[in-house]
Amino acid sequence: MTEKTIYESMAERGVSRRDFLKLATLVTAALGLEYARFPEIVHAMETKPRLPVIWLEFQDCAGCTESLTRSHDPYLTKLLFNDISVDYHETLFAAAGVQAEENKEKIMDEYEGQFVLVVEGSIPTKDNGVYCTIGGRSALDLLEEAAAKAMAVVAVGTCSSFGGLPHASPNPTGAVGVHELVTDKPLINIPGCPPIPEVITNTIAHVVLLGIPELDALGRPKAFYGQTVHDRCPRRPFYERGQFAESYDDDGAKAGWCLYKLGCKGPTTYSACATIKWNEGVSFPVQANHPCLGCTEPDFWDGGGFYKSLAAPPGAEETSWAEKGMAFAGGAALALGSALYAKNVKKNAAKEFKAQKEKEAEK
Amino acid sequence: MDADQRISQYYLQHTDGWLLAQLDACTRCGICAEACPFYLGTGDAVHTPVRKIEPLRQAVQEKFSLVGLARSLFKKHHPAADELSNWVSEAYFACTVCNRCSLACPMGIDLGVLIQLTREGLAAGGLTPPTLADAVQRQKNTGSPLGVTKTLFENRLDWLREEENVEIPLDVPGADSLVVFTSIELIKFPGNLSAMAKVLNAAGEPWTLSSTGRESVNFATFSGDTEEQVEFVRRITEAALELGVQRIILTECGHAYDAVRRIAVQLYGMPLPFQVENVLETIVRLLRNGKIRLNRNVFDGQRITYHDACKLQRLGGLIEQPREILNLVAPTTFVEMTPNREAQWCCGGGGGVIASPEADEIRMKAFLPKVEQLEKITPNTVVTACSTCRLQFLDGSKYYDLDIDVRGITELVAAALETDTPKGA
Amino acid sequence: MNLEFARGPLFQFALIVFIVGMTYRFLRIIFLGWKKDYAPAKGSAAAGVVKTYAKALIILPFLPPKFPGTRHRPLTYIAGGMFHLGLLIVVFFGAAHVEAWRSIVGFGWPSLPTPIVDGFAAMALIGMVILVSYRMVSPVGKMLTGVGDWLNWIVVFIPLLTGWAAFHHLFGVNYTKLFTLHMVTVDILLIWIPFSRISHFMTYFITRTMHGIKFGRLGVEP
Repeated sequence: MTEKTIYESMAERGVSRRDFLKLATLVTAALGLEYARFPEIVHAMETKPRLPVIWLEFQDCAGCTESLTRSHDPYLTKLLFNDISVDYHETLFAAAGVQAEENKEKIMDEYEGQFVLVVEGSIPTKDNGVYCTIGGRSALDLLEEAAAKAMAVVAVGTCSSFGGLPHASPNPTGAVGVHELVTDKPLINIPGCPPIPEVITNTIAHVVLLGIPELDALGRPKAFYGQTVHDRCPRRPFYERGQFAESYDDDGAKAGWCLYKLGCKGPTTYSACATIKWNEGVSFPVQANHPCLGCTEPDFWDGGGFYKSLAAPPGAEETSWAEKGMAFAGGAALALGSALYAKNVKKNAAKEFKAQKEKEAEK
Repeated sequence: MDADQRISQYYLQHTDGWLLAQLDACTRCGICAEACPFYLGTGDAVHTPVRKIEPLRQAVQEKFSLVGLARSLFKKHHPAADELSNWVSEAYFACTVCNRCSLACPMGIDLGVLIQLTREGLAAGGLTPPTLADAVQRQKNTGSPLGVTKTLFENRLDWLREEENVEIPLDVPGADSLVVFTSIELIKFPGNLSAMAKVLNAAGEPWTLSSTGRESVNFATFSGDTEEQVEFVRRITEAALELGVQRIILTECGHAYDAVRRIAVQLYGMPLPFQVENVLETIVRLLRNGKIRLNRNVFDGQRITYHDACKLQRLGGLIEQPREILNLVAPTTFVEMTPNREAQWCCGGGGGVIASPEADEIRMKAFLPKVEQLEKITPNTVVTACSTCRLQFLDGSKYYDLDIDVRGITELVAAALETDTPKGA
Repeated sequence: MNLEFARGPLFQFALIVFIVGMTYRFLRIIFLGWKKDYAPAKGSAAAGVVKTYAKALIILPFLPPKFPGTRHRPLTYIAGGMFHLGLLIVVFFGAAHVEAWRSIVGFGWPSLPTPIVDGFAAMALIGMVILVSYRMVSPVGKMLTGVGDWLNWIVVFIPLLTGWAAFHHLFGVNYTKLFTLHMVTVDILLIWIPFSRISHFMTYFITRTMHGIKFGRLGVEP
């Protein structure tokens, strides 16, 4: 909340220079940067002020926050909560009510153009956004106000990135992701349902220290969303050999075979789940014998079904036998019509032919 | 009405599910070309069998396919009038309707029947080649495409009886069989008649010729004139009914067997009032019943091969009969050509091709696969059961300087007849 | 064009068009009917049918051309066989496709190991390249090939290639893009089939059966 730099605020707390450098090393590594960039991190922490972070939640389940608080990386978490000031968080804050809201307004005004806005949850747009209101104001309104004043916006979770669960068919609230409403500010998407905690902390730290990281076409940091789960999956050799589990408790599943036939969306899902994994690198869904849901991708709820293979076209699933029967009947009707038309053509040809022959015979 | 319209209408009239399926199934793979002696002999892709049915395909496509209907909005009538002479040439001079392409087609398309249908359409448009058209007229008026009138026929028989010292009954009511020759045999290969007479007389089977049903060649089959085709068959069947015979025996002619069998059923329904037999079947029947016996050594020292006439084998199923005969009569001297039986190469003269002077050059080229076959086994005699094939082989062996004899199977059998054994033994 | 659209509504549309079109094409032939063959039979029609299918589907695709008429260029025959067999194995026994069939017809069956299916896919692709070369180089091929035939080749080749490339993540192209391309081209193929000569896989069974019946009745080897 001051213009003190990160280093200064650390030093104030009694962190020695040595410890600071150690932390900077670990931060560099945690950010996935090569060691040559270590001086950059030191310099950033020495010169950049502690930036405020405003964390807004809209149509969410708070799962992304829950994930964040399970981060096993003490360094980044410490960095985030001690040395970067999270100045508004609906779930984590004890404060509530009018004062909390007023405080938020104050921070946003004081640090206009300097704070990082983090958004969790989708924003309903239908009926003037009445389906999510905080303190009497719609999410639509709140986002517009906050984003206008922010330096950059980070959408944490698939809901704020792409609309997530509320956006799934039939989308009764008209839920959308942040990118559809905020177009004039740097925007980073950190999708996932929830995202991996280290991915969240890493990205926010990167924004604060080094600016916006390299993003892919969907606005996701390439460092964590540059490869698919399939690309790094430990079960990949089974895929290549064509050894697939056919059901959850068959011999193949027990032997750890590929879950492609059981609906794994790994090949189309860009995420770091197979490398960073969850719960301090213990495991991730596929390793636990459950197919990847594809939760970092837009519309993963509507992608045909979690337990339907990628190869099974939803278009076929949705065509009922009645519809197939009707198509068959339609074809038959067309064939009948065509045959009748053909018979007519034949009859006319025969008639003309005969008439011509008779004419010639008379001649 | 113009020729192209008449032709198109003929094809449309005859479009049924069968035709649509046949035309639909073609994937334009071109394997049919590999089976056609005209393509292989000339090396010219225009003689690909599936191309010979182009006018038929175009007419049907124009009216019965979405693409055709759309195209007909812009382009005029198919088949195009200026291409007709081309199609006539392909269908009548570059094809014998041998049906070899039908067996090669991976889709099982009956190309032979389609080409025949193509000819019928062209004939309906008045585009039959003049030589064939003249022959049909002659057959209509005189009873034979060569102009062999009743009088000529009877005179020729008289001459033959004297020359060969053989009994040839004519117009005998109540005989078992009515034998119908071709006028080509009568004029060019009279040995066939005397040979047949010798065999049947030796077998003791009552038989007769008929002065009204005296022609088994059916030039309307070649030209595609369907009405005349029926009429020419009717002359034979009515003679058979009039004489009250049990069976009609057709002699060495390729197309007659199929034409008479098929059209007789159309005229009289099933069961037929008489059997229809080809001379090959006759000889086998007589052999199996012990009515005739053959000398197994007559042809020792020779090298005999058999040419399967296309219409007899692919359209008639008469494949094993000649072999039964030849294995009996030339057990050590009979060699097969390769390929043989239903895969046998067409000689290139059938289907009326030999009758059209326009086709003289190309049919010698179509004979080339045959030359290759013969050079591989170097026979000194080729035996066949079709007079057109016989003529083509004679022309071809002269053209290519091949030193081979060409004989009909009936003559061979007659030459091997054991005449001193009691009948029925 | 995104993956969900190509697998979803577009696929459904293509499937419906395919069913309508193939039914139309097949029943039109049946409804137009045909004349009976009245000539007396000398052999068994049924035997002819059995023999012709045995030769055409089971024996011949795996042996050099039986019919000596194709001695001059067995390449077309063999390349055609390679393509068809490869395609059938890939489409019916490739792991991904078995799942697709499960969606379409409601049940699945065991798939073949991926390396085996790969071999057949390669065979099919090579067969197709040979066949298109034949159409470009041979005089008979050149004469017979029209616009429709080139389009047919493209419409079949691209799904085959993109499907294989997608499954094996080839060419360094993004998987989702390849998969989308595969689905879109498959949709195009499904719509194209009833209106083109590719529907010969249905008419085949009509003409082949007719062929077997005709020659069976004649007593000639079909």
